[in-house]
Amino acid sequence: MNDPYRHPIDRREALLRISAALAAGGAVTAGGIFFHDRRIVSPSARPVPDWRTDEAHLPPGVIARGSDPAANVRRALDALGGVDRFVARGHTVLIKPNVGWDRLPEQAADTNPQVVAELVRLSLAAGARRVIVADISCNDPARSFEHSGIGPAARAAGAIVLVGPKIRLVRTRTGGPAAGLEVMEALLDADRVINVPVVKQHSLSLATLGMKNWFGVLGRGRARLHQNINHSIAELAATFRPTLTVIDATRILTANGPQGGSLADVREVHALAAGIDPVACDAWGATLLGLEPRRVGYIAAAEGRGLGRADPRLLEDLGTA
Amino acid sequence: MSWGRRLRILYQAIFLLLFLWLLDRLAHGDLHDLPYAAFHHADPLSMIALSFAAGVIPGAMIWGLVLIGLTLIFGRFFCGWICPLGTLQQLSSWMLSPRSRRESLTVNRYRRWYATKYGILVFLLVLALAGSLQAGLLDPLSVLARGIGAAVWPVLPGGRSLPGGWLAAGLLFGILLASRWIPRLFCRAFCPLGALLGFFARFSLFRIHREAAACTDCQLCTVACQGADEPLGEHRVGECVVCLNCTVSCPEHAITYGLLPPAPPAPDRPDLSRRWLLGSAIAALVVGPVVEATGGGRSAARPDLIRPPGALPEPEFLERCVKCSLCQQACPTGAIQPAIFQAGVEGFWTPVIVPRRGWCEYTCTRCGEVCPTQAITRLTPARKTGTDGQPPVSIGTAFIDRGRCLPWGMDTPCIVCEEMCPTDPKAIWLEPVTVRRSNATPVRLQRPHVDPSRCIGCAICENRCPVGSAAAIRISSTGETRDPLNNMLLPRPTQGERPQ
Amino acid sequence: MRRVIIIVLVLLPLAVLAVWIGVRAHRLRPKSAIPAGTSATAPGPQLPSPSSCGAAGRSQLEHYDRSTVYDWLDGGAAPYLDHGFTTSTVATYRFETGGRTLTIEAAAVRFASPRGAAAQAAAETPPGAAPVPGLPGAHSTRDVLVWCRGRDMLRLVSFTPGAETSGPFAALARAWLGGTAP
Repeated sequence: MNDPYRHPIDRREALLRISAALAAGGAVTAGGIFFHDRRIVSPSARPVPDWRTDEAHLPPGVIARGSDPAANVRRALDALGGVDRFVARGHTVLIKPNVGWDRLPEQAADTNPQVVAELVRLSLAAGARRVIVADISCNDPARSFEHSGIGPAARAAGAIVLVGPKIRLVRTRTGGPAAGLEVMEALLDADRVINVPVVKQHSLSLATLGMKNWFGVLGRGRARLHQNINHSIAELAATFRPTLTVIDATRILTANGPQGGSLADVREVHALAAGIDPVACDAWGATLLGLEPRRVGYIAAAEGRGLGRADPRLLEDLGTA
Repeated sequence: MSWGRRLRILYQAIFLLLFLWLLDRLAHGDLHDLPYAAFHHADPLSMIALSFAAGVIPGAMIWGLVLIGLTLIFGRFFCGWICPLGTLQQLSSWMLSPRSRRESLTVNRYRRWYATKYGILVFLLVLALAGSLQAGLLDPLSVLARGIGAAVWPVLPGGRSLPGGWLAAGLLFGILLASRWIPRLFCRAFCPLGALLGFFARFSLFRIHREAAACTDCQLCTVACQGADEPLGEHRVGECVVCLNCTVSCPEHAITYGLLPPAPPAPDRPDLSRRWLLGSAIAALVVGPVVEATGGGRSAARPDLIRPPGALPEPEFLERCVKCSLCQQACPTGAIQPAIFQAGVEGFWTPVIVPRRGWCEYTCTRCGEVCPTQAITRLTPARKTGTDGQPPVSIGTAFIDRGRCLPWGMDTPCIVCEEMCPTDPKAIWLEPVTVRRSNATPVRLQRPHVDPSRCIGCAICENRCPVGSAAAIRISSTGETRDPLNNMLLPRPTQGERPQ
Repeated sequence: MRRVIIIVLVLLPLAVLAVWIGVRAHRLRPKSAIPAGTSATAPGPQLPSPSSCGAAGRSQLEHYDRSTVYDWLDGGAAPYLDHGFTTSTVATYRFETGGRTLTIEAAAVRFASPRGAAAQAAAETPPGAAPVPGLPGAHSTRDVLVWCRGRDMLRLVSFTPGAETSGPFAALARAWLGGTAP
């Protein structure tokens, strides 16, 4: 009888079949364990570091005036004790200008390129290993960096300029309204962060200054933050604590902000403020737009949270060079 | 004479790399004034079809004449030496299919149905005469540019997806895959540009010549032949792509490529019956008007048919657009997408702006700079934005959907559209109001309004509107500069002509 | 020899192509548009914020150019246009001094050339106007101040007859000139 269905198997074949079954089961189990992720939080979620230096004895900030923006930067930082007090050898420094818009420097929609370039040069001179200039633009990033002059100027000064697709985004462990939004990874990797906004009118928050500038490190979905903007900005300011805030007021945009366009909206102030108190710096910027600082919701909210003092008189005015 | 073949391979490599490099620079926002559309400018198929459809040969398209002139001298050298799609087919045939000599001998013989391309050419040209420009759908340069835009850039890091791109990618992959069975099948049987150049190549001064006395009928030339033009028999000049493989492969050195060979030229006419050609022409004459009348295109201004800035009025636009996809790849924000349905049957794969994918950057004039046929006319930033004193170029108008808008419908503060609005003064203005929410707490809002006389339809408001899926502010094509009738407002006053 | 000539001839178009691409690769595409009509020299035809000059309030800024100047000046626009008027910014300031409300209309006007601005300023200066201390070149009466700086002219007109205006006039003019330090 040669019934194939009743064929007795020998020991060798039995062993073979059992080991094949075991191997298959083992492979599936190993694969399952390999791919299993027990963490509920996304594995890439990272904490946001605090980039402040312990410089409590310094003045909270200074104001420098003059027609040469680079000279204003040098004078302001010298008055704060020199850039060496903030940047040490081997540091990675991230400079966050406002490069939101595809506009020319004359239109005052973006930070002045000479201010950014001078900060790059000073940081490198202080021994920084590398200086990164990055922003997530609202307009096309390549055009915004090129036409604002910040891309060419920063590169010429020796910075690494991160534009558009070169910016990697990661999730952070931030709470509040920014929870779930992605942040540029280079920011989290930096040892020191210098926030360099330009002074502009803004119809909802009244003024775009330093604390509002943190919108530019966030990825998609940041538009929702406008629904409770003062609280959102204060929350961002509590999350991102820069080493230094430099408020560029070489030219300021007084209307049709935050991108302007017509030169009739631009006023030339030829000044800048630098300091370690982001709230005081913003308060000074607000006065340039004719605003009472504590009437600007997020400045008051930030002061209320103890992030700084909303008093522009705390900044020492160095006068015109 | 192996130098001839080496030079041909050098040409092929350089032109393929040049084509890809230019596209890469274009798609990645190079700010230099490179000749991005150079290949398309020298394309005589587009040139002739365009002159039939639109009655003009725009600007640099006149370079197509140079290529025709060179073809009259050298034959279809463009196909064998320059055309990047031809080079890619040759590459894929070489890589995918190691053939025995016997197989190559079979597969490189001429077949009667290779004359299909002449039927396609006649169909497309007569269709163009009837007013519908579709030559770009099968033009090899457009096929390759579209295919790369759809199949390469989207999958590279940082690439943007392209809905509908599988159609273009599929055509390109199909053409390359077909070479696995028949080398250069597209060139031999279907390419309308190849057919056009083949027509002119019949008069070429330089051509392949076989010294019959030295020939041993070994057929090695046919084994190596790219164009299936039978150098051994009555050589078909119109099929020959001047690859020069036959001259290299002949052990007797009986085959040469030279000026006015001594023997009388072999009889060569497209192996296509008059009935076929006539049939193609009649088919085009029937299809053209039917598609124009019922294809759903140019008849009425469609709200979602937002053409790039500087585009010609719709009928003229359709007579010029060769669907090369250069504008789509040039668009820095990804706003320009190929039309699948928005522009009707005729407008398939023509460029439209899809606001949820991107917006028209305020001072960017890139699409018009690269458009080889000036279907999108060339603007300067000053002309586009109106800083030259004339009204700005508008592509549509924004409309607020008050039911979806956060300050209007949900009593929630939001000003993103106003913030993004690039005109100065802004076309979106805010009305401050204080309303009571359902729990009676007062809330201060700024409700957006659109000033249609200032709105240019750039769509950055719709793109950035935080209301998901359908935005609360949306662009439709009314108000576009190119069509004065698709406009709800009286014309804007120009300088010196102000209303009293 | 003949082969070398042929090879050189065949390579020649590639060389021409390389040169052409090289030339094009060094040219930049057109930049963003610079708004026409004005240049960015300070101070522009702009007006200071009310807080910077001690004013209690300011109306909306109005901007005029050559095509809209009639809306502002009506019949008086012709001499402005003759002197090369380009743009202007106009607003009304409110000052609270000594229990009185003082209304001042301020106009910052830009001309195509300093000569045009000076000519218009001379024509605007009322007879009997006196130089203003601390503002070189400015002249004022009790009701009007006119000051020409380069291509720009500042004109202040008090709408409150008989009021003491010298303080607010000087504050406005200084703020207009020099930016507005807090």
